[in-house]
Amino acid sequence: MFELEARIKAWRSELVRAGLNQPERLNELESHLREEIETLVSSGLKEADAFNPAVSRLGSSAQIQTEFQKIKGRSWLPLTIVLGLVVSMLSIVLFVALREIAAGNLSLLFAHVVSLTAGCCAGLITGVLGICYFCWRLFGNLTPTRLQPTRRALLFLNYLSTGLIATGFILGMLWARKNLGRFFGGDPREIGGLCVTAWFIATAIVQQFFRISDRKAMLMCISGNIVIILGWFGANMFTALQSYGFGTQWLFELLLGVHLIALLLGFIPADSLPLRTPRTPKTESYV
Amino acid sequence: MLAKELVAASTEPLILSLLSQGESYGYALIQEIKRLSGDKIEWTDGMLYPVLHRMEDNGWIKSRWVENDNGRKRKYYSIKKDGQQALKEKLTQWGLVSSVLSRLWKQQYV
Repeated sequence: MFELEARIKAWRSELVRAGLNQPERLNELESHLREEIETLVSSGLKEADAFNPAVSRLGSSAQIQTEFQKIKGRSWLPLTIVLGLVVSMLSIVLFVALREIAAGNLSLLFAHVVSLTAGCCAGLITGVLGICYFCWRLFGNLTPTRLQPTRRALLFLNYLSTGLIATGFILGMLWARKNLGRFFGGDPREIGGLCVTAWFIATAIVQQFFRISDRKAMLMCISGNIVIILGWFGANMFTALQSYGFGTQWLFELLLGVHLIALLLGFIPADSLPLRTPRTPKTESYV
Repeated sequence: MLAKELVAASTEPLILSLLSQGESYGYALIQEIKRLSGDKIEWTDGMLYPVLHRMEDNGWIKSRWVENDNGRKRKYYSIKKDGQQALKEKLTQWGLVSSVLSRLWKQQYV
């Protein structure tokens, strides 16, 4: 007995085997196939007789995949730079940590500082990606093929920052318990650290469980930077505990100002500024 | 039937022209071209989507998923400012080819 759903499922699997594995593209092709089958059925054919002609009108899976491959893999410079920076930073952190372990100097405080600093730096770098996104969106040409790897990178960077920041925060609490007799003392730096940790955990949850737009995800990244600036650099100015620098007022204000402007850019509708130049395509293809 | 090369060259201006009249989706675009050409222009249906995606990548068109009354989702495309500019350029180019051919044929047959 003919089962349409099973046949469509098998047809999708065939497309996936041919290398077409993006759900959005598959959904669009499936929607077309169903439409074609409906048209053939309404013209008098049975579903079983309509399926094969509808599939053949769409073309072979290899043909479709070949055409899609021509638009695959366009890189976006800010993403390449950001990923390069993150890899460099992680290499440095790993090198420093291994050196300290080899020298037998690895302490709770050191691990806390390194983890928190690396997490905040990764978070800040992700926020810079957000700033680039809004600049490109308004003044450049940010297209879906460029956004796909950016989405994946953003998710990875957010998890990385959240993991490092949360680990650093917990290590800090353990250090405080061991040396100061309490986990949390309400110091401006500790409150700042708590805010940063809470924000990044919330961001990771939202990104994992809610389907949010790229614009909202990038707004969250820039907001994350503002939380880091206030919670880390800002708290340094009022801290009673040790400070790792960045206590300069002008730098704090400059960073805050830049991020607030970037946040505002995110609320300007795309295409509203007449500063973009249309791109000319490089290839023609057959349909 | 139109030659394969001509079908390929005319795809983008045809899509841009259709989308300049309003939002539409892949299946409807194919049916409309078939109707307007009296079945003389025939696209291989599945090949239209890579072209649409490439045009979206060029920043000429944008897309959104819409759920209709029976729960089915369709991806609708609409033209952007850059697409209107590209259409204008393509119309000028096709207009030029058309006028040159017209003049040549006029000289030949008059």
